[in-house]
Amino acid sequence: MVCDLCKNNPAAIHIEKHNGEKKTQLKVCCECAGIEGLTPENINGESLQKLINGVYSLQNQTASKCLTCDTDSEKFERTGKVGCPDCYTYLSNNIDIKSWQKTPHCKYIGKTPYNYNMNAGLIENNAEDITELEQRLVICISEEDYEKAAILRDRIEEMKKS
Amino acid sequence: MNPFLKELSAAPLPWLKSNDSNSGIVISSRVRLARNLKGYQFPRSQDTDLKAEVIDKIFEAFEFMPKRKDVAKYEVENLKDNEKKLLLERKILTYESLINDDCGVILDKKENFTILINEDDHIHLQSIKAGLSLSQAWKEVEKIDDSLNKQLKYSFSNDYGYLTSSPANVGTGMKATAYLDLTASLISGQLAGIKQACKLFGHVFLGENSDDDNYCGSRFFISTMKTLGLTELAVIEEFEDFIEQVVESELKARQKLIADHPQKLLNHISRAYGNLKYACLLSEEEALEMLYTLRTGTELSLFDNISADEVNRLLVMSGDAHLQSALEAALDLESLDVARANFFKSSFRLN
Repeated sequence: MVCDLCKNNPAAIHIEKHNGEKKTQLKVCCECAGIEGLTPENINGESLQKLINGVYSLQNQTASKCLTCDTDSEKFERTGKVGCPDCYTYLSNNIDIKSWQKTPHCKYIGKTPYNYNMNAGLIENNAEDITELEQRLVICISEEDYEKAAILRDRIEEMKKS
Repeated sequence: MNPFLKELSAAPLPWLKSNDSNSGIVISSRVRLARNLKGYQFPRSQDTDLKAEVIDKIFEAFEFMPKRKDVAKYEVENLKDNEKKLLLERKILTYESLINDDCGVILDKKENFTILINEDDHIHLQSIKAGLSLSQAWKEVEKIDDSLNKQLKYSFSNDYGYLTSSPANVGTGMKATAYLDLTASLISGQLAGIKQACKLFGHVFLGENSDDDNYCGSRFFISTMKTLGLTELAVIEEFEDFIEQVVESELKARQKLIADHPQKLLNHISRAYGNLKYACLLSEEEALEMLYTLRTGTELSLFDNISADEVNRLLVMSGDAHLQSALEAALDLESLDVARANFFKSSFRLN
């Protein structure tokens, strides 16, 4: 069993906290316990509680990280930029849209993308798309625009596969 | 220089025209849209291969756009230095796009719109028009955005709208900017009031070539910030009203300055004219500054012998890349300063 804090040394102290049905566990090595202020002289409820709280808030912080692109709250605070569309979900606690926009009215009422329905999301109609592309391909070939036709052919193949 | 860009370098800037409607106070209006492709991470967290894939996808989409023959597409890293500088002078490329690798650019012959790929977002679609023409610029980008969206799927969420790499742009992804000449407000110390008004209405006020309070020129940018809570058109209309009020306050400041201190404004403009006409070395920055001052003079009809159109033509030509392209020579910095001074000397002597 390794230490929950440094993830390196073997754990020497095992702390368990019971709160009704809920049980929280923490395993630390002597070195980390010393750093966190838990020494043989001052083992008491307060110092144990402090250690557990500290560790859990640390774990919660590391959890605010985007699972798609690895951008974390620290990187976002530093650069002011997010890494991918999913960051808006994973880092939602860190991105305070109202303060960025400097307005309390943050409901989106602008234009919607092509084929997008606010209730149903993006409407994907694969079969119809392929027929349309095939029609365009015929036109391109008749116009002898082979460059464009090649692109269309590849795109149709890709869509048929998916 | 490649033929398309060579032709571009000889053309006047479409956003630099003299217009009577607001006495040249609003030099130009720009609307920019930020968009990102669905299923891709934003450019900052993408590697070179994926960035190249995004460029290919957007270039390919343009193959199916109307009037595609009038459109040129370049990968920025493949452009020569003077070609990059040319596009920078025409406000098509930005400094960031030169620093970041793997950027792409799409522009049309008439410069109605340009697209910058892989800067902060996958797509920065912009249109710059002369004078106060925010609605026209918006219509232009909306049209291109709609037809591009038929080819490409955008990253979008119901709650936030179009998703962008900066939370400041999330929503409509739209930023409208007015480029203003506020000479009289600057000379008579009235900028603080305009700045205050911008803050009150939630707009950004920025000086060209200046940091916060040290304005070294008389041209300023005012930009919108709201991308949520209002429709694009509502933002544009509100902003246009706001800019009209700034124009009115600058007009009043000009009238007051001419009435109270007639020599002050004339002195400022005549000095610029004198420098342009007699200097033997002129840097690009210096020349631009003085030409814009001279432009203010022509808008106020202080000169009989120089037209506003002539000043606009000189403004385009004063850029390093434009000058070298016109002279068909590659010059070092000092020779450029000499060539520029000579160019102005001969232009003004003809008048």
